[in-house]
Amino acid sequence: MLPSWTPLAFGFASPWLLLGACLATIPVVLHLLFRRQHREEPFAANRFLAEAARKHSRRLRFQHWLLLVVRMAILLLVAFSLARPFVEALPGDLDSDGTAVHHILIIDSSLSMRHTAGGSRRFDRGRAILEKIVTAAREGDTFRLLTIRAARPPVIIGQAAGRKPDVLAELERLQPTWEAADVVTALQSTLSLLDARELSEHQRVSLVSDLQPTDWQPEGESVHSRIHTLLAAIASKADLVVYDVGGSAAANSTIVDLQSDSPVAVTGIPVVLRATVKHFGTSGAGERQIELHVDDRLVSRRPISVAAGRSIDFEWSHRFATGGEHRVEARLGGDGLADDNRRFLSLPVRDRLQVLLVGGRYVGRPEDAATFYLETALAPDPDPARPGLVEATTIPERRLATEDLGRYDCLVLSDIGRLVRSEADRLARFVADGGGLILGLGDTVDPGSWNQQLGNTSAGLLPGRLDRIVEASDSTSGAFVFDPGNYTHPVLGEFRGLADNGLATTVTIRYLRTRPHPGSNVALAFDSGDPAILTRRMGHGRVVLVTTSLDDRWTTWPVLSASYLPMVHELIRFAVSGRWSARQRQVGEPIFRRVDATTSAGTLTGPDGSSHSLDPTTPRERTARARRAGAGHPEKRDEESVREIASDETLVPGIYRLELGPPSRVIELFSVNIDPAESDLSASSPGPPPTDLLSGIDVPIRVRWQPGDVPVLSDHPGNPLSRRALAILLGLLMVELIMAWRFRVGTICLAVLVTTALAGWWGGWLSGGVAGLLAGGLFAARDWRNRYGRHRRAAQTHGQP
Amino acid sequence: MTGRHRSSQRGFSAEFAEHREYTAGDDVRYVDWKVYGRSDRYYLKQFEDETNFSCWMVLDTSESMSYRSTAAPVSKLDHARRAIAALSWLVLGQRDAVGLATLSGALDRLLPPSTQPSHLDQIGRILQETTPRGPTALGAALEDLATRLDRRSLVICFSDLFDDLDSATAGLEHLAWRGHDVVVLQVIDPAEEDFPFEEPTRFVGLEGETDQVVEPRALGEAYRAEFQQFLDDVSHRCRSLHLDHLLLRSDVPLTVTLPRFLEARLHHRGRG
Repeated sequence: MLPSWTPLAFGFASPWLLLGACLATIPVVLHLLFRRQHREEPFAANRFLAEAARKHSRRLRFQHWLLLVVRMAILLLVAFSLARPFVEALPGDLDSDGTAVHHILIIDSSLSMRHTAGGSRRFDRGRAILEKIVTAAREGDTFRLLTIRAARPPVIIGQAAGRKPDVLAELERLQPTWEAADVVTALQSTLSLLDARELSEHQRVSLVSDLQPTDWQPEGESVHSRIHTLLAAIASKADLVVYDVGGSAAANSTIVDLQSDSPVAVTGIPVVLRATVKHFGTSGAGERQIELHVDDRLVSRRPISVAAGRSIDFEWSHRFATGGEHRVEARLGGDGLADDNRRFLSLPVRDRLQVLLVGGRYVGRPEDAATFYLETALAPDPDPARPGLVEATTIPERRLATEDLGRYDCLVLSDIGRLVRSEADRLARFVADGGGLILGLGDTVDPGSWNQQLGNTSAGLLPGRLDRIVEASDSTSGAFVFDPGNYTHPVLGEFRGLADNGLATTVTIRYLRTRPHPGSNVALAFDSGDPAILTRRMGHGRVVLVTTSLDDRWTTWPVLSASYLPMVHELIRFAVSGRWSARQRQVGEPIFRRVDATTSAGTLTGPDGSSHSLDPTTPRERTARARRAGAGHPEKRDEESVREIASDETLVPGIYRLELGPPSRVIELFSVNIDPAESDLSASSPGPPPTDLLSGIDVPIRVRWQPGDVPVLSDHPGNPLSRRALAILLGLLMVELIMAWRFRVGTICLAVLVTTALAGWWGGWLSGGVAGLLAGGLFAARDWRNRYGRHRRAAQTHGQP
Repeated sequence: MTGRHRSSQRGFSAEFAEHREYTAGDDVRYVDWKVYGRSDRYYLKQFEDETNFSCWMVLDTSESMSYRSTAAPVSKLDHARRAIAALSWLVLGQRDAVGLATLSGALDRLLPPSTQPSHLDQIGRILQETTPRGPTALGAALEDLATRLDRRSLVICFSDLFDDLDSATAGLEHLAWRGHDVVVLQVIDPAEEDFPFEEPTRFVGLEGETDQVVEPRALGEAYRAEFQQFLDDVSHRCRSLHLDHLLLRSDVPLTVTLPRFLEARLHHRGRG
């Protein structure tokens, strides 16, 4: 409904469909053809036909032309409706009834809005649109401002601001982020703001976005329908206009992943660095140069060519000469979206992995020790040119309570009989801090004690509940062998594809049947179906449980199988990988690290050089922070004594440097990368925006702001011009049918339709309906009176009663 | 030979009815001399008239009578032929006389009335030989017929009356003035009254009228009103001349319309 008479600008959203108006000539052509094509019929009463035609020639001509006009109007309305007409108020003439307009401005500030084309970024074009809307608004209008991003709340101006300079200044301060877009949260916030306003107030929502497909057309059906529902709700409460600043379709290549084959590298041992490059586009090949930088030094540059829609892996073998924290970066040649052409990896390099072997049996001869075969497997290569990965230290069980576990990356307990509570707690802290723990069983192990001490720790250190010893005599074949299944677990990766890897020929005569706890994974099983190797995560660390012995008491594995040595190395590599797994983060995620009680503070330096002091937090504070963040926290189940430092959400991709201390000074590097989903610019434009997302919602889509391009009045989703035209079209179709059947009745219906449409336009559908009924009644009464009166006069003339 | 039809008129016939006193100018042949001898007064004998009933069937054979629509089983002319044959058979069956006159632009054929049963064959032959032709000029033909009928008769006129109605009315009036009992059985085709056409059509006149290109949906209502007015006009004129008038729709069987006609005639005589 038009609030008042205002000067209007008229236009069409799809003007080319107006060509369909040519269809209106069809009735004329048919009319001309009709004049020449008719059948002949001999008729005796032609004189009466002639007389009727003579008497009614004017009326017949009128009927003829009226019917022709109705038919032409039907076809014109078809083209008119398809062209999606709209009526807009001219600047300065809006809401001449004096009602202030409440503007809600939404701008997408996700990574894809950083794409540059024609010398300007999408974000800058979008911001310019919003600035023009603010500038063109009347005095007295109010504004709120929201952004679409993932890491921070979307509301920028939460209280309605009336001063244009303030709003323009806030817009000027806005910058595109490196984050993904959380569309649902932004739309929910918009809806909340709309609900909070007075219903009588005129509200307009201007949404500026590139409508990037992964943000606006997510694959998840629930998210997709949620976005659709929110847009419909917004459109029902306010004038919603979407400005698509995506521009022309853009092909884009990006590095979607950068990994090393091991989460930790060892000096002198080559590590494989692998980058995955994907070309988002529908045609052409992404011809680029890819560079590898280590510690900000260029070490490799190679040309690449990636076919449209495909991805390709590039590998470099790099040997680190020194230990410590190293930064690795892959760079891709520039394109329209330069900000996704860099991928970072923080890689800790150790001189050796320090492994502590703890034996649980009395040692008579060396080969009787529970750790004998482990020591042998981890012994350094006699060839000094081939440095070993691991440096192992062996201690007896009694020293476990006093040994400084912080020096070690991995702990291996072999056939330890009992553990006291203090030892279990030390182990739990060691694992939670990122250490690896490998547990081997044997005759000495007391399952009850293990279940009590390791299974009851707050974090659940034991991957499964130890049940009872299973003997070879229980097996039909007299022994057990490994069943690696499909080699899906990472520790079996080295064995996958090797026909004679030794796993299937290893004979085990005894093991402890173990019931896996929830959250644990079975890496390797026996042919009886019971787990042979179980793993689980705890805090930053990982625990591995081997349900048979790691020596030759229960199995021939260390003596006769070629798989023992590589399996021990793989288990250690897997167990220690947890310590560095939290080093790779995504923009928007915080950086956190567990610290011991002595660590008093930390400093985080971002890639842009900004530094922030971080204080260790208590569990209660962490819980409160997690609650505020509204997301799960990775260390929810940790024991109360563990402290942690955590940053706010990371906003810039790159390498972050975390410095802990005093008392001890520890420096660690964290890599933060963008979400590669934002790099997909292929389907966002051109052409219609996500029409299925907007199906059923009459929302005008604009690509630019023009003078006079202020929010639409008559294209309001609740009262659209095209919908009215379609309603009138349906009415005319019915009228045409009725006119062809009974012209008099059809004329009455036409009069009713015209009255309804006019009254509905000015007074709403209710008024239109009432006016239509009244008009119909009046016309019908008049017609009845005319007919009845004529009959009565005729009857009187013929002398009939 | 006398028929069984009883005349309402009294004349000078064989069967005595009553006496009345002589007045100057009366035919002295009918003076009852026996009464004069007894009473010395002149009385005339009056007899009940037992003349033969004479009926003329007048058939309009103009081109318009040949029309037959798809809704009608026969043309108007054929319908009239059958009606004439049926009524002639009835009249002859009563030993009354029946004659036939066909006319279109003028009086075509004239078959004098006869009471002979074989006369029905002649009537049938003429009806069969009659072909529709020419425009209707009913008025002049009826005038001509009126001058030729020397004896008062029942004249049943079968026509669609698609003619100048004033002229036709004048002819009918002339017949009535000459003392004939005139009945108008107006034969129409159902399509002429209902006008059931839908598609745009060029209507070709049968008697040389101008062709009419018409969209029946648009003009149908007006035509029906016009035709109804024509029927009303005919009915009104017949009523004013005290003529019986009945519609014979060619889609309505004669077994329905003729009994109705005879019943109406019976009532008419009862009133008369």
